[in-house]
Amino acid sequence: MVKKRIIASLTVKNDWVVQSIGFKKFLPVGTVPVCVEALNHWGVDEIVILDITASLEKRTINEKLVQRACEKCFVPLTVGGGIKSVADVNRLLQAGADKVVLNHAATCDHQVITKLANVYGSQCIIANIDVRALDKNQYSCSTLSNTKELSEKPENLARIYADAGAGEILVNSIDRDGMKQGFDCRLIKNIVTAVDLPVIALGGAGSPIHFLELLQEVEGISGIAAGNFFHFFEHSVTISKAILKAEIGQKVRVDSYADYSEHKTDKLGRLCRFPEEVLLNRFFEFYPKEQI
Amino acid sequence: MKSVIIIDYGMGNVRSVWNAFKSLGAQPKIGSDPEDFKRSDAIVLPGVGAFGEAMKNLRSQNLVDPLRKLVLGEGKPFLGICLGLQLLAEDSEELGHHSGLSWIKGSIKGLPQCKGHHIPHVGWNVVEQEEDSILYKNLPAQSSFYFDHSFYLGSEDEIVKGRVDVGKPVVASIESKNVFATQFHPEKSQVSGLRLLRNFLNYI
Repeated sequence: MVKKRIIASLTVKNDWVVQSIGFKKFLPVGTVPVCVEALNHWGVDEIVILDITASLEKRTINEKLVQRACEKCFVPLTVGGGIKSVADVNRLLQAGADKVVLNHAATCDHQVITKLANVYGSQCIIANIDVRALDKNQYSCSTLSNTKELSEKPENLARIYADAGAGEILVNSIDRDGMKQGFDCRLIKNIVTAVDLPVIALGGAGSPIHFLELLQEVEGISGIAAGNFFHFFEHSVTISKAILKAEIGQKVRVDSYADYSEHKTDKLGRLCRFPEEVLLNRFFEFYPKEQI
Repeated sequence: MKSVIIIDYGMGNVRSVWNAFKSLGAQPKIGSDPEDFKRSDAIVLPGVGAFGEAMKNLRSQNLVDPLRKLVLGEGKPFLGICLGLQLLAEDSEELGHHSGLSWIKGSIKGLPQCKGHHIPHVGWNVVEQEEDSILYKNLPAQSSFYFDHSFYLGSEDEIVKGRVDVGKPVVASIESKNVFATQFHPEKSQVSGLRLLRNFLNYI
């Protein structure tokens, strides 16, 4: 059985990783290679780099940046931002990316997915849908950093992309972006039922418990992505996976050196302190760094 | 320092394989000159894409005979990755019928349709390891690796040292004397992948 993936999503603006709050406010986090290296060490399953202003500024994500990120990345790397042609994809794959994300170009012309999938295979093409929740369980889609409304409903758009030949669907809840309130389980469930493709949820993670909630609510989910949550909390990926493993077992991959299997967590997903006598004994133990 | 030549024949992501060997302290080089193959300690054949196209590229760059001579004749250590494993087979049914390098017995077939399993088989999956394997030496039994393929090697031979469950068990890796090959991508499989590549470097 293929494992459920925990994916780190890096929001990039002006070649810097930023914390994004509701697609409106942006705070700098660090450079891309540094973030990629840390996440890779913490045992994340995949990394997605999204240049959020590329389409607005009519350019493609910087391939030099992708190349530098790739040097420290030993997990599949997906990149997105202003991609619209075979030449763009070719350049980024040469730089070291494994998959690409399409957003604005796909909303303008669904055929671009078909065109790219025919050349590089469906598994290489991820279609991204930005969704905003309206009142009364209604949703609407938008693009270009939430500046352009679309007429299609999210499920319809997902179906159109699936028919066009996309390999995966990345659903981004704009209104949950940076809110740390948990994922929009209803929306994700709708999309997972609508298409027979792997679906990745993004937007809203604020605690390891949110990952667990989504996995339990939506069994068919393939990947869960988070951005801000992973940046501001040391070993966040490793600890989240430890909590998931305790609850759902073999469905997640835990291969990292530190696995937090002995730790207890509280109901908010925070690590509990060890009892005093355990810490005293720990004081004399030496944990060498693993050399591969 | 061990030198590794990574064959560039226009099929996929050679850069990530280079990065992985570099991070392990080896001396990787990307190239397609048979003279370089002779000078290096080991040969790596990566690859993403279609079988027919890959064989066509190998033939048009005149790499088939030098490779056979060095690897099968002189016993130079060899590692095939993903498509690099499939090319070793006798033939493939991917997009028509194509003959392969025929270094090992078996044909490349499409993955079987099984309920609850998507095709292509993309993502992290556990590999069932054989105990006498060189590549999986000192790796934990439940290690996961990153797969990305729609076709597989149909073989029940004793050279099969790893199997993966895609609804039924299929070949994940083979080892036959100096020839090693994996269906998954060790360069994209984080610590498990790096440990496996380290085992390969230790073998050289």
